[in-house]
Amino acid sequence: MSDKAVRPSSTHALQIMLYAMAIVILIGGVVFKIWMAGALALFSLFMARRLGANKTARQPESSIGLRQITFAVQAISILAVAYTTQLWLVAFVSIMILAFGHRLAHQYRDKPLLPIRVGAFIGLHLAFAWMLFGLFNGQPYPQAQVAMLAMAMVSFELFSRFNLASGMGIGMLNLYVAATLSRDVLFGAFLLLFLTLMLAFLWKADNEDGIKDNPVILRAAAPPRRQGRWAAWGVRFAFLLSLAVPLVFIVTPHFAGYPIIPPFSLQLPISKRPSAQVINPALPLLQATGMLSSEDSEYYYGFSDQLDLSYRGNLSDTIMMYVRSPAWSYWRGYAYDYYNGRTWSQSNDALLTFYSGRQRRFVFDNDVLEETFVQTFILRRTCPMSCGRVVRRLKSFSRRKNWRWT
Amino acid sequence: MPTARALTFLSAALVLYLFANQTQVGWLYVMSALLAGVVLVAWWSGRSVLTGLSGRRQINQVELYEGETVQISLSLGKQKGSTFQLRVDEHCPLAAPDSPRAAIKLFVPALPDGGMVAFDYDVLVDRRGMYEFPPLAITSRAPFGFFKRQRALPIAMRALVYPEVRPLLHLDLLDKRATPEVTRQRAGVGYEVIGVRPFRTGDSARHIHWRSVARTNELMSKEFADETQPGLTLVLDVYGHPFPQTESKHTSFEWAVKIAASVGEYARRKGYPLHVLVDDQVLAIPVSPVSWSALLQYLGRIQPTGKRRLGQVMGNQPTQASTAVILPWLDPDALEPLLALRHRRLDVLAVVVDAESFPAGGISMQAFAAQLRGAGIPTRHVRFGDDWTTQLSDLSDVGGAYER
Repeated sequence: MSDKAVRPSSTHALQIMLYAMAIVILIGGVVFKIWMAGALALFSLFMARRLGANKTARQPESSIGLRQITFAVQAISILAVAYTTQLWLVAFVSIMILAFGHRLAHQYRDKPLLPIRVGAFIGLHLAFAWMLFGLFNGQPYPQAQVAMLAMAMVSFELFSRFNLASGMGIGMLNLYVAATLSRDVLFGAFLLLFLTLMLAFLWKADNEDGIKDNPVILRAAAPPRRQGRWAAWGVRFAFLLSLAVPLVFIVTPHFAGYPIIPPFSLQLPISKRPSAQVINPALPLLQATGMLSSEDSEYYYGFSDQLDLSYRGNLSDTIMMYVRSPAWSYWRGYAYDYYNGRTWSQSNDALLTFYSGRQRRFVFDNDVLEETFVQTFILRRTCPMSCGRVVRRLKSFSRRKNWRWT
Repeated sequence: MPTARALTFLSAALVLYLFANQTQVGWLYVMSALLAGVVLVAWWSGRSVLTGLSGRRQINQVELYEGETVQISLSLGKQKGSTFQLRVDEHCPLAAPDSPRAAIKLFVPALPDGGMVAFDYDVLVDRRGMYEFPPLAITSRAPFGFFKRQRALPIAMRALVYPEVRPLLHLDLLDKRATPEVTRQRAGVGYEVIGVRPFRTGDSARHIHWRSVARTNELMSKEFADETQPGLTLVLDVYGHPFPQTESKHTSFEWAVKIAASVGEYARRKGYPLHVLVDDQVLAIPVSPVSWSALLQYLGRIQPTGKRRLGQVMGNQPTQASTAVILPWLDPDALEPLLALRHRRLDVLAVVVDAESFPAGGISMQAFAAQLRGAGIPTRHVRFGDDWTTQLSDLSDVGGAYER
């Protein structure tokens, strides 16, 4: 029987879809001059080729050991997300669903039950509905919640070796989400555990394939003193890894401060904090940002009275003000003096009022004895938030729309 | 060679790197470096997976005959360092091409430093000939399947398979002549050295051929022939007739070789010194009496590639009192030398193997056999399907008569 004959039609359709996707991405990349699209197109082509070649990986996987490792890998990724977000309840629910899903998938791997598949389909969509609900209702980390819940729901569909590998890939996405939220070195422990289990999966898969593919298995009768050498091999591998990873980290340029490819901003009608800043940092090329509800909105990035480091907003190119100054000066957008492990904020937000007087001139300190200079400000937009509060009060002393103070 | 798995990891590392660059999340850089680092270390660690391997292959039998079962021992060891997940392909040329023993797939999950694995397998020897075992093909994707490495372990070995020998119950050519009874203490012992053969229990130590022992590292005994006995000349037609190309081992030529071996064995049993007359341009053979092992080695190697017809080969060559001529293919010119032998009042037996009766087909020998019989030459017409020993031993329908 030929390879094409045994390949299920769904796989063939998926392969065609990936090829089509690669073409669309490539055309889009050329049109919009996004070189990153070329890499994505290559990745799609690569995955399409993989679908065609790896036919044995699509057989129902009967290895309990491989499934247990997959479950452990996914559970580790959920725990990593839970640790960074403190969403322990969602994590607990996700792990329970994950375990149940793996059990049913293993039980019915040869002949999946339609009700279970329909239930998983509905569950997956409910998870995304929950995320949308959370986005607009101030739920904590809705994207992290959907990452955990969606992975758990997908576990009902993990029948083959390829599915299990995909499940671990989804686990890596969870780890990705955790990485973007983590400010803790303990995340490294989750990362190492995840990697160790994933390598264990690969090792065991190769071993089981070798035993399955070859009718004769030869085992060496190793004396006890030799058994320790297996552990020594593992230690040596770990040691080499501890050298190689920092080496790769060091030699790869990091371009701190600016991205190679600027992200595309997508404004959504979200005005609540902190979701109003950045919705999903896990999609760096497509950053969804909050939308101003009106012209008089006070919201802009960098001027909030608190800064949640879990989120990263992209700076706007909107011109806020012009400054004319005869001397160099340092401008500070905002300053915080309190950090709670995740968010910077001001411990004291009391305002100090200055009056311009008749000359519309502010003098902050009359006792300055050094040489003074005069700066002229032209505000183009209303400053938001606490900055805005200052400006608003300044405006209250001015009768001009674009007030000037000298 | 990197596998698709390595490319997947490196692709994921690249994507994570780009995402890390976008988000400036430090952990993503770490994740990217981890994925790439794992592939790097796997490459480094896997370099020694197939080095320091040694292997040995041994056939636990001195003489190999077609149709017999032999045991082959295979061992694989690692001298330095440990190795994992070895896939070994053992190709046994002695087995039939469609036999599961022709290509045996072995898997070694782990082989520690200084460790060894061994495997014995029985194989039914398919057909005669000189065979060379190929190097042992070993592949491994350890560790973690990121790179595939392969190596051919040079444990090549040659083996000569003798043709199948079936003991004949009767052969009137040799049965009807009263051979001079020369009493010897042991069979096969005479006056003239005709060759060497592997030492057997009961052989005199004085007859050990030490030069052969030094060469082969095995005990070898001299074999003698007594020239006072009347001998048998075995004539085999090895001309390159247009035999049909077939994968089957059942061809008229192969049967002719087996018949030659069986007739030779019968002559040996009867105490006839054996002479072989074939086209020596195909494969040289001494004109003097040949030993049993020499005959087997010759018949093990011979192929129908001769340039000279049987009539040219026989020519005026001297023959013994009895001559058995085996014809695997129709050659009308063979009639003349056979008649010449008859005119010299020598005993002749013609064995014609009917190619038409074989699976691959060929020319019918029936008419030629009748022609031979009509010319007064005792003839055996051997057809595929029946046991040739029965067909050769059949006392009826020989035709002709032997000179007595």
